[in-house]
Amino acid sequence: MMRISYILLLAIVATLTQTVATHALWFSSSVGWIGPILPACVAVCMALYSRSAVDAALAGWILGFALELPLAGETMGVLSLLFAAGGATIYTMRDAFFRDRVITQAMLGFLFCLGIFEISVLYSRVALPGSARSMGAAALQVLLVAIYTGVFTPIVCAGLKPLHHWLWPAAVERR
Amino acid sequence: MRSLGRRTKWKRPTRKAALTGLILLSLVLIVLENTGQRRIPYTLSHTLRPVLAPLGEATIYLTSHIAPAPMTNDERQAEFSAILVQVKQVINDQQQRINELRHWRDAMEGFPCLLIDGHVTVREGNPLRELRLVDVGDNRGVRPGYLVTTRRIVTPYENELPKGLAVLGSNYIIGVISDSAANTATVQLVTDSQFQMPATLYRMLAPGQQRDVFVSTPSGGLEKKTVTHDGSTAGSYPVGEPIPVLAKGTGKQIVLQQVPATHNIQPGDLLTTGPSTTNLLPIGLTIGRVVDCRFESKDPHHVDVYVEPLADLSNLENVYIVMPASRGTK
Repeated sequence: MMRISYILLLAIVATLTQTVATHALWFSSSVGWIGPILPACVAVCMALYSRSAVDAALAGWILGFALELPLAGETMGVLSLLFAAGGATIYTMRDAFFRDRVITQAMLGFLFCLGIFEISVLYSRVALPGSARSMGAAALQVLLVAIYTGVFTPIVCAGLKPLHHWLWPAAVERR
Repeated sequence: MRSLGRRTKWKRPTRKAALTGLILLSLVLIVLENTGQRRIPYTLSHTLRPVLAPLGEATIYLTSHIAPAPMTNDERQAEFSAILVQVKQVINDQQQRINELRHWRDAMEGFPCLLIDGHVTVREGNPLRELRLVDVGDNRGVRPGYLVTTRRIVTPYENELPKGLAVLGSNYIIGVISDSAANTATVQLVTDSQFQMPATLYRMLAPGQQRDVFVSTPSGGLEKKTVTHDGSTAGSYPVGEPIPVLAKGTGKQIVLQQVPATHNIQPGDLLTTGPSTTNLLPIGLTIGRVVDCRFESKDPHHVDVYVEPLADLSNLENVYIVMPASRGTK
């Protein structure tokens, strides 16, 4: 069973790192800033090694909430909800992949980020009308951010490997 | 059957129940946000700030300085030489400007605003948003809606400024305060995708330039007039009537939509704060410069104007929050 206290700690560390340190990896493009989203990488790793869909969703919710907590009061609640749904989806999808390989992690990280942030952009468009930003530019920015996050996901998963016995005391080895 | 006398044991909620509760919390937050009740979401978002602000301050400048690739000595020397030439040009330009503006000074009674100096401590972690956390908040009287500028306004102007004066020094508006906590406040940058502010667009005429403008006639119509730079100043000056626009952030730039094509907007024109900010700001401060104009696909009579902020938003360090003097003296 997953240890919630460690997940909370991990979410805080991931969010703080994302907010204060990952900007060195960002680059500017014609559609805006492109950078990896660390809590999304962690949520994918959690979903890959969780023992139940509920655990994966719970970890996703905590990470999503931690990401939207620090600065943006607006649209609060959306990311946590989407991260929870994303975590549960990755959990149910993971068996479709034959082995837990780097490419699998990268692919799932990409899909997770793409799905969640495209929906989040769409929600912002509907809930906060009057945005001057074209949907195409926003979608392209999310796509590039998702690719970057996908590249980072295997690195984060490898970094979390030594913590497996703390996060999941009786971790089940994946095929 | 359990006897009534036995003490009921508290049962830990199952993970499923906990997850259901958290999902409900998310839904409640979404509903509160959509109904305009932002107190709870904002209070929640303030909880991490005591940890986040000092940590962010320690690393934000470090990361902004390690990001560029190291330069060789030759490259550095070449860069310094280029900077030196630029600085000399800027000094000459500023000197000329000071001379031009000197005569205004006596006619003015002081700048009726207080400036709160703030330090950017945290940059938004989500690359899709453009928000910054500054180290001043309710403790210094910062309130949502206040404008944020990059530089201290150096001249103690006191009188109302004459019409048409678009730029005063190099003070750029970079955003507005969107939320203020005890010791911190969030600045929404002008490029943020949710940013919106009424603004004013000035058509500028550079030395040697000639352009067509439509001016209002006494009968209420429009008359085309070709204006040429009169050579009275070494710099650009505004021509025609100021155009009221709505500035919106696109995530990268600022866009002004539905601007009538007859205004003949050109790259180089200036965007400043509009009359709606007169309660916050006595003069129009510059926001950015027009870089592109595109006809709207559905309406050829209107253009979308793209504006690049004049301030370097990627490396914000010291900012000034403009507080109306009437509020500050209360």
